[in-house]
Amino acid sequence: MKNKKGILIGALSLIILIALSVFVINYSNAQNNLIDDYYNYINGKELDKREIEKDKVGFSYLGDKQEEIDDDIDKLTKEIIDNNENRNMTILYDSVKSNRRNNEGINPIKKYITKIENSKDINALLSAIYEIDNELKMGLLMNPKVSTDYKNSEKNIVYLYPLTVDFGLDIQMFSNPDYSSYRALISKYRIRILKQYGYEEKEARKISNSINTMLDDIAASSKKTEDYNDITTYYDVIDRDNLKLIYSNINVDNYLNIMKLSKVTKFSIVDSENYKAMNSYLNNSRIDLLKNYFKVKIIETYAQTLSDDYVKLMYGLNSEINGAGEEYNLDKYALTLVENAFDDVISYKYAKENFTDKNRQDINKLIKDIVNYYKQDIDSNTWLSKSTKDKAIKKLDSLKIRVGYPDEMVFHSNNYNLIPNDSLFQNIVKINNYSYNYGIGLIDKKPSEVWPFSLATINAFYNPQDNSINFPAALYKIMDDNDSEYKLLGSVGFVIAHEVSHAFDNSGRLFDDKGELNDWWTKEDVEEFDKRKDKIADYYSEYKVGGINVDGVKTVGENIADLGAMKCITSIAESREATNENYKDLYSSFANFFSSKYIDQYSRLLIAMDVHSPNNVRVNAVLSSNDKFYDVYNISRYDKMYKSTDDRVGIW
Amino acid sequence: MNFNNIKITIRKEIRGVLRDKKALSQVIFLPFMVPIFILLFGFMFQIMDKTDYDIGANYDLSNTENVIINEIGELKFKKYNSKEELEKAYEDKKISAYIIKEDKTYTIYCDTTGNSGQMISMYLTSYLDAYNKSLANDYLNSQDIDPDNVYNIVQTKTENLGDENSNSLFTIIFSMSVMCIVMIIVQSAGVVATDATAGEKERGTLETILTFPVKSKELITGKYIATAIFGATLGLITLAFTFPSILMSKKIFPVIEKMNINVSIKPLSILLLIVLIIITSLLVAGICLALTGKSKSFKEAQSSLQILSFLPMLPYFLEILEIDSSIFYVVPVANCGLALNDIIMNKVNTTSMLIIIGTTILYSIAIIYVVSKLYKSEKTLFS
Repeated sequence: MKNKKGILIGALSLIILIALSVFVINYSNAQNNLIDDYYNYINGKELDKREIEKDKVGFSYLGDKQEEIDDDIDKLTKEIIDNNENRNMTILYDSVKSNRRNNEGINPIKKYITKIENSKDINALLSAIYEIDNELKMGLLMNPKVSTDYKNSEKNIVYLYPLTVDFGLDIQMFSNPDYSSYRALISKYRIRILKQYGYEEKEARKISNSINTMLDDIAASSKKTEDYNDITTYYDVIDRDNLKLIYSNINVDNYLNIMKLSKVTKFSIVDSENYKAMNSYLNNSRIDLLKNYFKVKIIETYAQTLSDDYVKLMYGLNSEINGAGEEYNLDKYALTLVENAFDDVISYKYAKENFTDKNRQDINKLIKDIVNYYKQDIDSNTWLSKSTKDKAIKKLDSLKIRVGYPDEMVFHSNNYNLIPNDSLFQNIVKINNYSYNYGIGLIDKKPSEVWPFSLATINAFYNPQDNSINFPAALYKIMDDNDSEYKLLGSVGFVIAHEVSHAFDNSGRLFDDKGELNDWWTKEDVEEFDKRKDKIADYYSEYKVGGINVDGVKTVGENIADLGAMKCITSIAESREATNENYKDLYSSFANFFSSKYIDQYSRLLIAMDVHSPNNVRVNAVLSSNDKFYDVYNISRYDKMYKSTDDRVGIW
Repeated sequence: MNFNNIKITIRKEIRGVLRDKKALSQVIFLPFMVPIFILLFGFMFQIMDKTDYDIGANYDLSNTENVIINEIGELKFKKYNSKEELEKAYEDKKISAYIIKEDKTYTIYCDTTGNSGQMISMYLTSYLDAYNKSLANDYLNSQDIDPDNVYNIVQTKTENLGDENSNSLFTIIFSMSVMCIVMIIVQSAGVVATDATAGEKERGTLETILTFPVKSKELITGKYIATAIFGATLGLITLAFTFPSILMSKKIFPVIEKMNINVSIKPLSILLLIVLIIITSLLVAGICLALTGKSKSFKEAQSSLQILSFLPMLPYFLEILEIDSSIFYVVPVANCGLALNDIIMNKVNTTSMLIIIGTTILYSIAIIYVVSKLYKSEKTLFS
């Protein structure tokens, strides 16, 4: 009997041992994934299951939500057009779909090109440019934009931006090897539109190559990508005489008059060397090159208003840059143009229909908790001086908050005054000129309370120049009434805390409570801030995605905001006496919020262009520096998510 | 047949081995062999898998170059400001090679007399070739010339006809572990069988036992079951140690982790593994008793078991020699190693599995018949 028992116990022990090891292995695999890569632990299975559609660059949690909104916006726009509720909108829509556009081909812009082609010398060419800018306000020689004075938030001034290459490629990126593929595709597109225009292939190539050489030369003299990391670089106020010295080869007074800037005496020039380089080209020896450059510039800018042949080339370029993209579809194209031009009317209507009072209350409650947290955190900060702390808290007290949609909205699109049967080109010029003239009308005036982007875009924004946080109505899409308060804290709470944190990132901290560029930090505080900022840059630069190291310097502002936001929402959870499960809800909701899967080419493009770190890094790097995460998931020094206390980073 | 006599015999044999420190010491450490074996191999692979070669360069790598280098692997770049700095870093052995870029010329400085130098030179040439091709692609694109019309006039494709998930290092480690399980069954069953046959004869205890009212059939059945139980128990314990040790090696050695080994297996596979270990033990127990039956001493018994020790190694050699293993599915003992290997590697084929289990059961029945005949002979019992 005794032996039977022994055998039974032995057999049972063996079975338990085997079962236990199988369980430990399975559990360890899951746990292993968690402590090595939390982003993948939360999102991996779902991302693996779903394939990227053929015409898409990828998908993401936020992208899916935005697509749902975009579909709603398409329906709403179609409804407004079908019911003829907005005359201007119907006119623009009809002009996109009209056969006239295809029949006219290049004709809408032909007269401008002819003017350029007929120029015999530099003076004639400049006269042609003045005439063209008088009509089209393209800013072919200068790129003026009206915005709040960095040093006086009570008035708007004119900023002169560098000349652009278009398609999102700024001049400073043109000669940067990181953008060589991008540049090649733009050159390819340029050759194709020149061929479409009527040039032989060989000639088109020759023209394109000569323009590239010119842009390379200008880019070499211009500010570099990294120079733009310092926001103060945008602010260099010069007077008209200085501008004349920079642009000695043009009639500055005449040109400013044409651009409706005759009364402006001071300008903030972003990159004077860029203008000087352009100026050096404005002579008779470069006449043919300049004629080609301006011709291409006009065709590229207005290709969207020309016949389908040109529009399709534009679509092709987009697809090649991203690695995938939607095929041209006339209905969709017409809707997109209308939605862009009439965003104020459409997105406001959409916001009013979908953004509920409860959404507003929930966001406002989160904002209140988050701002209170930051005040307490700054107050209890050990390395900031008293004067800096006081001013920081004052800045938080002065924070302007915009949630959902404004009570009253100025619909600029009602003032377009489009005329039936005008061509698409004429309509777009009218819309552009309205926007340009409206901006010019704001010079020297007090900046108005303008919502910075579409209400139907899932995004959020901190504007340092009016010290405001902006949360458009589209955020309702990521708020589910069934979500626990901690899930909401991990998603919407993170977004809000991130934006508030921007008030004190490397750029935001340079602006005071009124939104003015003002050095309100003590020297010691700045030194400590910079030390921490540099450590954050180094920390993120260690992360690699697809072989490319994250650019810790370029992304430092967003990373500071991410780190601060996570600390903030974790502390709020702590004050609500969250349990371990609550924290897990918060962290998983945060990781899911950034869930995304993109094709390699698009991922690489994002790394090159985006000021945010890649999504997986945003999640893992932030959590590896969050102390509470270590307790909640028992992270040990042997886990990949582990960073020693000294290596963990954060400004606050 | 009196089952009580069989049980008494089983208990006696197992007790015998457990009390015999010498015999026990021969088997007690066997299950630990697998973790040691796997960790040892992990360590060896880690040493063999040399970490990235440090390369110096006098220029910053572009994103395109970083992507290429990442795809090649093995290279880790560091920027130095001048040729002098690079030369010093090379002399100080901080870098294994360096590249100097002057205008469009990249010069690779590398000692190509040794194997690793040749490898580095090959990697660096691959990187620069790929980068050159990428720049050429950009150029062709910028001229609106389809790069495919230049580079891919002839298209070449390679389709992997093998198992996508198989990995040579992974296969070797697992095959060896599996081989260990079967070897441990053979070894432990051999110890019991030796003690139960030659041991009895050497100690002269068999005659005493035969004076008891116990039939030789009962005696043999008891010895057979005790041998099988001992083999199966140690086999199962070894199995239980195999998976955690793989996991541990994955944690400790990055090279194993890179292999992306997933040791989580289905309950059905676990059940199949247990069944196989049990029937393998039954077969091995029979063979051991048959081989040791006529031995007069420990030494003689042990040498007669030598041949059996080679059989479990067969699957491992097959794996290395890439010989089609299907013909060995009917070879006793070796086929059990193959079956265990197939289950763990998720390559279970129902037909081969049925052949293996079927033949093993048939061999077991045959060997039991042979053993019972053998032990009926007085020559065997009293020689």
